[in-house]
Amino acid sequence: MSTVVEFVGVGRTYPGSPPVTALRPTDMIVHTGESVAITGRSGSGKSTILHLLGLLDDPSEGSYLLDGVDTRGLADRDRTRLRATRIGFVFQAFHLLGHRTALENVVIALLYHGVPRRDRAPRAAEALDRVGLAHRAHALPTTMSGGERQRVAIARALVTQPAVLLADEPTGNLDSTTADGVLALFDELHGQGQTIILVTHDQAVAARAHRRLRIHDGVVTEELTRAP
Amino acid sequence: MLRDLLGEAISASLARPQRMALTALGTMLGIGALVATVGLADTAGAQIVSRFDELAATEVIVRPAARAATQGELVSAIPWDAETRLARLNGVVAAGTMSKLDLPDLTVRTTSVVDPLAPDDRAADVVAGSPGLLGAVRGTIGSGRWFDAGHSRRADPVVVLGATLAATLHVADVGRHPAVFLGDRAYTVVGILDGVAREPALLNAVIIPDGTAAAAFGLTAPQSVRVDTRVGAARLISSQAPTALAPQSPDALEAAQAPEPAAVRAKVARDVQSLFLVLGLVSLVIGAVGIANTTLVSVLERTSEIGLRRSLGATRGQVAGQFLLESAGVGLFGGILGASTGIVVVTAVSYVKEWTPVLAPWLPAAAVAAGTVVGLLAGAYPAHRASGIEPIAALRAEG
Repeated sequence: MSTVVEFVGVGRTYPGSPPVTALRPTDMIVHTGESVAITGRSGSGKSTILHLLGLLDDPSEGSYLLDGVDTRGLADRDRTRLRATRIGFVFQAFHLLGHRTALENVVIALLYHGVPRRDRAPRAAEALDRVGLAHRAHALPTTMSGGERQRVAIARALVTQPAVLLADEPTGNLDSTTADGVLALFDELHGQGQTIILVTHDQAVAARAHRRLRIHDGVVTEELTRAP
Repeated sequence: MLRDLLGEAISASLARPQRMALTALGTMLGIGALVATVGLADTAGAQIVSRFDELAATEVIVRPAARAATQGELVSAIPWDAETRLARLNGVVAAGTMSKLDLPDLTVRTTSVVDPLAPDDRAADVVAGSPGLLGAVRGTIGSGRWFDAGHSRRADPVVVLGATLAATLHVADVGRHPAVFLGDRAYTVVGILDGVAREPALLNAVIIPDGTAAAAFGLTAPQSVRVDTRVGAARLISSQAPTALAPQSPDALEAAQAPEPAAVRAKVARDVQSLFLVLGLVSLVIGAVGIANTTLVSVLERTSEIGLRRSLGATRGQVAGQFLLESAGVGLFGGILGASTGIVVVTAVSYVKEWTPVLAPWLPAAAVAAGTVVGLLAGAYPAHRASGIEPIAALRAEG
């Protein structure tokens, strides 16, 4: 089983007076096909680890290997490219463009991915089909339910075939029934071999993951690992 | 990628059509003002020029030929009845002789007594003319009348004063028959020349009938003939006039159309245009500030969208490029609307004023290009700000 994410002594301290250590030096490995939930209370360091995993922030110490690429000292352009090709983001607030159809929202991810124009729509349609929204391809987000919007966001994250799907409180804006549907989709994607890392404060959401990591005061501990 | 960014920019602009229209309004007003002012300056300049041209195209001056003058034929070249002879030509509206008398020491005064302590004499040109001169120079009488053929035939001591000279001599009303003294002889002022389209020097001159000039000052023949023709007839009249005046020796005279005042025309057009250009540019700067302001607000409002695009792989350059294209698009839109508005304004004003609208063919295209450039420049700072937004902004934003 290959490694997708590898933290070697990764830590993050924000400068200031006094400096704030948000993540203490951490070793962590996520293998291909794993479903990992990172849980913790507000202020525990969840966001910090998410930003580091998503190449949105640089560690103060240690090294982070993403899909075998050492991200230390990468130039902004290379970091952007790596992020675009290896990571699919799913946000709590969906972040769909309201004036674009579901299909167009998914196509945007391919636009920055260097996919030829003629291939974009078919691939986006395929991604929407994968999340069960083929019939809503031409609907505007403003006419969709919360669950449907999050599915479009997941399709947008998946369409570039990322090495890892990074989800930040993916059910935070959904009611429990809709949330169940989205989590079922994550289960299904995990079943298809997709590597998923969920960051959540919701224990019920975390319980669906194959591995559960808990972060408290910047210290990451392995809480539970169960057979896939 | 440029095509993709263009598509994204168009889509983003069309997503907020009202905002785009309002933002473009500033550029539209600026470009519209620029086109309208430049167009109106051109139109007004052309109108001024056409007025000059009209005067030039209807004026013929007949003088003794330079060659003939050196041979001493001046005396017989222009006959006293030149006015009558030219009036027979088809196309002549008015004709009149005009001679500037060479009287360097002569002064004009309104009293017979020369008081060394309170001198009231004025130096002024004395011009002899025929009755038709008033029409030929398109003059207007403010008070009294112009002298007639009888005055000239009898050599009456009458004068018409130019308005400027009359004012300096304090002669305002000729109803009480004031007199002026040319040298020691009194002349009754019969009229005041109020305005003149040609020969403005007449406004500061004493004008006397030809017959009077011949009797009192020894004028032997008119020095020139001023002819006012119908529009388009000047060339014909200038070719016929020498023969009509001196059938035996037409070569002794030369008839010339008044030269076109090209330098005056250029200066007037330039002055008018530069004034309006400044006004137009000020309007354009205001439009640019409007675009910059709205685009900056748009960047701040769309932080999460920019963050999202960055997290999806958009480089800083691509984000900046999209915003630059959006603001350039607004500028282009405003430029098209402004150029159209400017053309409509120029046409409407010309229609109302009964002018011929004049617009340089390159102006609308240049105006649209200027609008685009203004949009680009105005978008530079907001685009720079947008490119600095980190993808983390998408995670922070609530959407």
